[in-house]
Amino acid sequence: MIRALWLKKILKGRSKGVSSVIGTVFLVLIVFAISTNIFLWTISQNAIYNQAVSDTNQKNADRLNESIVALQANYSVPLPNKVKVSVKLTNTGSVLAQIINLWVFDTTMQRYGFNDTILSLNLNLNPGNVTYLTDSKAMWVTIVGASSADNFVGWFVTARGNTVALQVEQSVIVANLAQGIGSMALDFFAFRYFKYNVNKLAGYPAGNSSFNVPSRTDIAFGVVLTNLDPSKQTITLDLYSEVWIYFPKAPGQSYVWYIVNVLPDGSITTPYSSITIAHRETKMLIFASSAAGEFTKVSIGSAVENLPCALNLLLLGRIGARDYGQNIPFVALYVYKP
Amino acid sequence: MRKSDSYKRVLRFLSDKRAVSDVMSATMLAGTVVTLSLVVFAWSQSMSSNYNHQFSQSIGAEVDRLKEKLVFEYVYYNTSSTPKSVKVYLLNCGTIDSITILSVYVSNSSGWFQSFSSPSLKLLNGTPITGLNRGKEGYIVLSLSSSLKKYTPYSIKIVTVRGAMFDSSFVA
Repeated sequence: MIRALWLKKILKGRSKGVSSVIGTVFLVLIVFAISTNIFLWTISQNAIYNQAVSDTNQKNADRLNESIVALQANYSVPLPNKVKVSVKLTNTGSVLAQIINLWVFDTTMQRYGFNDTILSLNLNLNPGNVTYLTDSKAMWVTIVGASSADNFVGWFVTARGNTVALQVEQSVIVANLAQGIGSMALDFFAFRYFKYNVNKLAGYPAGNSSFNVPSRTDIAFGVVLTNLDPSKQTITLDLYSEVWIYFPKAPGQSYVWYIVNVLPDGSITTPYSSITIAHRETKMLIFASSAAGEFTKVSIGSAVENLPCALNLLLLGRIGARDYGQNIPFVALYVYKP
Repeated sequence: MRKSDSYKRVLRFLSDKRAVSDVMSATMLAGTVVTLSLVVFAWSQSMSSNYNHQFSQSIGAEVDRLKEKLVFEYVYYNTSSTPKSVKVYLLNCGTIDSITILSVYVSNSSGWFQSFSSPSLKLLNGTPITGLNRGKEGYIVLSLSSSLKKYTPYSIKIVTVRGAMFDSSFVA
């Protein structure tokens, strides 16, 4: 009935109240459009904020899960103002970690230094990865005035901002042993020998890790030494440093291998130039020549085949400003017929 | 039909004023309502746009602040410099570039404190910068007005332009 009246009004041309209707419709549309707009937009902004919070929380969680252990750290100063840091890094966490900086503080001198160029080495460690930063991979930090006699502390910084303290190698037994018989300690288990072609050591630096050596074969010996001098001085080895073997069952039979310089590819260079080992520094030395200061091949003769022999390491040179001489025994060899 | 009849009809239509005022008033009212509605709509749109803009800026600033992360790599109290200074090494390990330091506060538990406004930020190689980018390391040097007490712990707080705060402590 009402609708019929309304239609009748429109059909008869009565327009009273039309503007109110139009106004109301417009008002409703405006309110709806704007409120919808603001509502959706607020939701989108809220989503952006929540995403940022979530990202931050994730980063914090990753940061907490990052765990690197730096063991067997060793500080030495083989060059003036240059601290060499050797260390074993293990990622014991559950996330990938990247090392970006190494800090070293000289507690004796109260000076510090850092090496931020290690970022270019891409030291990325997956969970469980172990990396040895030793020998040619060792890190270097510049500290003006540092010496081997100083005490050091160090820490790595990861890309997530964690710091990893370096835990110094505790080699009390070896140190005490070295103190008892001299300043240099021999790593007994790292003893090895090399065969070679012309003047290049085969399989350098790994060589053959054995105490059985062949006769009638040109060989050289590799020994790993650590300077554990109690007075923390640098040791310089001269050309008379040698490895000497002798046979109890064959008196008079002895052989000598003098120290030589070796390039990273295993090539022996002549003439010999002095090798220095800073305090707490570990180096592998090669003994290959029958003549001091140069390179002449050495092989063990057939007369002593199938015999055991004793090996002595005779080290000569300078320790600090004084002369140095040390005889390190302990290695026994068996000469076999190849 | 004759021509004069049709002429008369047109003339009568034009001269007939009955009900014209109703149509005109209805049209004018409707036009006014539509116009006012459009004005109100435009004004509301403008207001909501302003609100959106302000809220967007507020959220953006908050998000940027959340993304900031500064780590103290090392704090060194230099007793040999004149005046004595504190060198603070920082790393930006956050997810946003250009972290700018607004102020730094050094204080201890006994109430002493010194503030530093916009200290000069440098990369590790000494290059001055205005902001520290992602993954970059830099340092600031804070020249102290008085010496710090030896073996006493001090705290250091950094406030960035975006409003984030980072703190650490060191022993003089």
